[in-house]
Amino acid sequence: MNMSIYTVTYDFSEINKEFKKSSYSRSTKLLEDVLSGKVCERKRSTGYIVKVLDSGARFINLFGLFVDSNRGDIALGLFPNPNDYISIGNIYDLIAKYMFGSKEIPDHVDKKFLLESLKLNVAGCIMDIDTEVYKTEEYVPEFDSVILNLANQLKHQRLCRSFEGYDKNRDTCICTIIKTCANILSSIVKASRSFFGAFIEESNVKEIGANSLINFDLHTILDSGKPNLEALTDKYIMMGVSPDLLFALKSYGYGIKQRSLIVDSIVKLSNRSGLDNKKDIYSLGDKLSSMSYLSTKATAINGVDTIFNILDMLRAVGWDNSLFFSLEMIQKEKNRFIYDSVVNKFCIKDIIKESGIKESDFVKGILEYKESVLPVISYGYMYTRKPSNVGYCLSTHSIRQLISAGNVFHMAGELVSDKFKTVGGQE
Amino acid sequence: MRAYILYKDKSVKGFKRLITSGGQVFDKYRALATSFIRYAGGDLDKNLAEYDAIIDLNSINLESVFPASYKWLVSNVSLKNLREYLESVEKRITEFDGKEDNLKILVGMLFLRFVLLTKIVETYLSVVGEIAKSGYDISQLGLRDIGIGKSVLKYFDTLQDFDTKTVDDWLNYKVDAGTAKYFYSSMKRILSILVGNNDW
Repeated sequence: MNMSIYTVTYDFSEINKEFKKSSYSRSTKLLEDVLSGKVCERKRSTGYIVKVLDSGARFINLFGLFVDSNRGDIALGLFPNPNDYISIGNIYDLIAKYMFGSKEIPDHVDKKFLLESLKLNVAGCIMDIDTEVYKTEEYVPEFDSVILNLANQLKHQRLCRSFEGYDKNRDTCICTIIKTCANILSSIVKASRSFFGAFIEESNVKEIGANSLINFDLHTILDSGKPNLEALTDKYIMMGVSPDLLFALKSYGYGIKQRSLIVDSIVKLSNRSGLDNKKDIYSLGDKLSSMSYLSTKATAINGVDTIFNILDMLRAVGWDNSLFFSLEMIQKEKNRFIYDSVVNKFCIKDIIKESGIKESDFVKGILEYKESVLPVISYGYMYTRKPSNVGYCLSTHSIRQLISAGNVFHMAGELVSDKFKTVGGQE
Repeated sequence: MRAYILYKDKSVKGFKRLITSGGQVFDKYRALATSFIRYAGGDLDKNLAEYDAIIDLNSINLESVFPASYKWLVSNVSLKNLREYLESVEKRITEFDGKEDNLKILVGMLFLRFVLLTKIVETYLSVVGEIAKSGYDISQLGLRDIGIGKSVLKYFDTLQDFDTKTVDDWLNYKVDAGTAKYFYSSMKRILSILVGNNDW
């Protein structure tokens, strides 16, 4: 793919003027700090958005931020489109700064592997990596699968020697990265809430598209007292705000109240001096990643954070639908063929065993992810753009479409066919 | 797969000609139909090439993939007949003057069959493609193994009835406005499900 990066200019001055007219006191300062890269500790001129197209990004939800494991871009939005997203910073710059005390991660460190290790196994993050071993052919992943790679590492229990140039306390660095990501996420969520206000918290599916208020003034919408996220979005678009920016901000809307509370508590906890309980910090790291969609039912499942992390990774490589579909095959056809294929391909049994998770809990986690996460990812049109299918991953959607279409056709087809059987059936 | 690919290519050309010369032959669902035809003549070929790189498409015999009772959907003979049928409809299109609804329903049926078949074939290829990448043998995998069994295919039984109808039968078909309207709405609904969600 030919990647292109270009900028989109923005000017919120008109919107700020309108905000002043309304009874809401608000500004776009928080949003501008996010877009300028300031919250990600990147120096950038203000006034434009960086768009990345056709990059074939592979996004991982790392401590709540969606980062591309290939280039390290921190994308704005939850579940961004890998081929069309807004970049607000770079995770590798942050890792280089806080883990290595330098501007760039040393060449001998496999950045992608490091990032994906942080994602999958914070508590046991393999910080000290036997770089020679990793760079040999023995560990070149056959299917570009980080999970397979990591599972092999765990399986063979290769021990490590220290990074060169890495002389800080390992756990402190991980804590700092988690805290930094939490702060960034908190800033983005606050910017999103500030820009959309109560609309993003209170709009629901029934209000979508209803009573479009595009002919109204912005402050009339804001003062109307009737939340209508789509109307507000339409108005912003008419005022020249980039739709991509709006969609990205809206994607935080789902569960935004819950998310804000959790992020703020994590930020406070991690800022607390004297905190040296590693287990708490690591579990907070996991929670930051999975908090986008944890439900009460999910928290009852043993190891749900790890399971959701595994499913996130499968999603990143386009294999999540295959796993969901395989469970349907087991249920309907008593056929484990596809399930075993997927699980063996990614050495998932080894990973969940190492984490003390039973297969039954793993399956419960998959079903819960499918029930509570997929609606946000795939069907939450209100808040997200539908992510594009990357490659040709299996879609269980296809079979449902065939059934739905077939159902409609069955009735219409029979009606048409019957007309051939009417008396004479002919003119 | 060769018979299917030939059927696909000929059908795309035929439907394109019908759109440009056949008036409002796709009625209310023209936009969706155009979108799919564009896909079938462009991106679908790229997808098929990608599948071909993993699983030799020539080695796939669709008649073995489909359940025995539904071989009629994909047999070489039936696919060839469908191609020829579409060509004969084009040749006799002027005879449908004054019987536009007859033509629209006939073409709608042919088009729907094309879309459904493509959807089934592509779903099958995407699944077995992924399995093949894992190194497993896919030669014994049929539609039923991937969840498309009679519970899905039974809805298309009616299509077999239309195989027996000649162009003359369609010219003599007695259709009322209500049936036609219901049919067009159904086609629009069906294509929205299959095409409108950007799975393609």
